[in-house]
Amino acid sequence: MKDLYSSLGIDAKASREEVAAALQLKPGSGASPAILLDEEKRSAYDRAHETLKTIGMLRHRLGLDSGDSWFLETCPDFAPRSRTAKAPAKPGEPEPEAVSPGANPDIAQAQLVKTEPPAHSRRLIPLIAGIIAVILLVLFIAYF
Amino acid sequence: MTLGQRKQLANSVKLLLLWLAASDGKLEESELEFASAHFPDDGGTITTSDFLAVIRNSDLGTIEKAIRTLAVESRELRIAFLDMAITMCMADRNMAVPENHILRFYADALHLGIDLLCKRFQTITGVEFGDPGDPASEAWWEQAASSGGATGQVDQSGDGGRIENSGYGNRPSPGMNIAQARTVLGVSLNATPADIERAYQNLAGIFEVGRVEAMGEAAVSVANERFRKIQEAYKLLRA
Repeated sequence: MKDLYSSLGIDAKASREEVAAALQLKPGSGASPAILLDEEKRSAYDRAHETLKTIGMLRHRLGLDSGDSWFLETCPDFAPRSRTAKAPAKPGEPEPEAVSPGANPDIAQAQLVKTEPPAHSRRLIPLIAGIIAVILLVLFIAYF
Repeated sequence: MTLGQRKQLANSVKLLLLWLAASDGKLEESELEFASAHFPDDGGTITTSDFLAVIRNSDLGTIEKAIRTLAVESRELRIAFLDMAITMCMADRNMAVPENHILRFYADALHLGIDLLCKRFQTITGVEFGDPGDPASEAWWEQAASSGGATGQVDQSGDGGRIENSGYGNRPSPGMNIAQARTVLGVSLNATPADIERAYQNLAGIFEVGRVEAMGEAAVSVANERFRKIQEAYKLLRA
């Protein structure tokens, strides 16, 4: 799906008159008057436009904006230009604790939980400490 | 799972399902009713209105946090979430363009992939998961008009028939007819009793409450409603 508003160089909240003027100024933009000047069709287009804008920004924040994907193939106008974000952690991977910028503070704060090392890591710590202690003891005895 | 983690997961599921429910642009009185019925406030500090405000304001940070929370859960739980999301989208047998895109996004962001989404969609609804459609194209509008679709929604029932739209289809349905029952179970006109039995067992397994209860009350509520509908349809078709 194309971003008709960006191809016309106008805001998505532009009035019908503004849209009509932009359509006249840029007849080769690919934007169809039959869609943008029809209230029902524009309303349906706007819902898809808003959703794709949100998905595009979320994909960028989640690091899902590179490689082959249906999104880049079918909605390139809504894909961010560069990749800077970190992909969501997979099961078993620790999730960063920081709240993302712009998060609703109430909900985001309520969602925060303290992360702990995985159980198997916690079991390994005393084992490794024991091995190191034995090695040091052997070295100490051998030295004297 | 600690209480904090459980709450965090339940809040995330609630937010993501609400985003899907609201994406067709009808987040008005009926949607608020729907939200209150299926996503009751748990007496905590975050109300359903707070969740709806997040959606209205496209609060990316909070939606991102919800996705990241669900993405680290077990594969089984993530698939159960996707199943519920599919069910919510297709309760009225019409797939709006934004709903299609959100489902695809969830499949990607939850590390499940588009192929699995297509398979689950086919299993649950009995029809293929279609392309999102392009409301920026005149050709798409002509096609939607000829297939009886309107307002950016495309009938995906596969048989061309438009089933009566009862909001989100999750309310009790007095007088479900045979055609609606077939749609609920995803079986064709020529389905044998064995096909009906198989479809029922399959769907009943998908919406078993035990499969979703870790995701919180909202998920259980949606699964319960769907399970009731599946049973009702099964009884009708077996009668």
